[in-house]
Amino acid sequence: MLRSLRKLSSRGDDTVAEWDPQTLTPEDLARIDAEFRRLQAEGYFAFDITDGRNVRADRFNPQADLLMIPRVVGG
Amino acid sequence: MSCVTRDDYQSAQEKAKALLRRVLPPAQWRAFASTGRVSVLGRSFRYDIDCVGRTALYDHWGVRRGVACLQLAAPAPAYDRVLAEYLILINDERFYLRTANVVRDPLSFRELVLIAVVVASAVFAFLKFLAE
Repeated sequence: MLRSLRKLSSRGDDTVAEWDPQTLTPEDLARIDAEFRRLQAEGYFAFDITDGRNVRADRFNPQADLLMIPRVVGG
Repeated sequence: MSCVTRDDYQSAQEKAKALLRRVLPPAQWRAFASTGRVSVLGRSFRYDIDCVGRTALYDHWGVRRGVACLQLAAPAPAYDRVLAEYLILINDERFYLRTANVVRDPLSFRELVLIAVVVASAVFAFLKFLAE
């Protein structure tokens, strides 16, 4: 089953990366992990939304569908 | 140069709505589809996240205690804001309350009367104690 790293955006959401955990190469894993960390460094929160889990994800998990939410502020 | 067209806007709204539907449990999605609100029961309050308005905070007796406003730092459709509030609330309610702008409702007349009665009773009991 394909997994994805998505981020919320003005377009609804953007797919940052999509992969098959069975065939993911170490190079691709490192590239997606780096992107995940870059977004975290920008202030994005990561959530594992695989099959209704809906929990915070502090680290990249190649087995999970990950959703990145931009920094939030009081309105 | 680029500009956002009406089609882009509708497409973004539809994508955000589809993502919200995917994340919400089925019962909460059905409630959202009929009311436009997602209800989350937290430790401090029950939160009604509204798609178009601010999030209403209710105490455990169902009395509205105020509203909260949380925004994404980047522009995104309203459904994305609902999704973000939902995920943050179910994972870290304290962070939500620290970050959101919470405006508490003023006390109702009934609550003010109740407080006045309690204070008056305490003062009366204290004066009675001094007199004895």
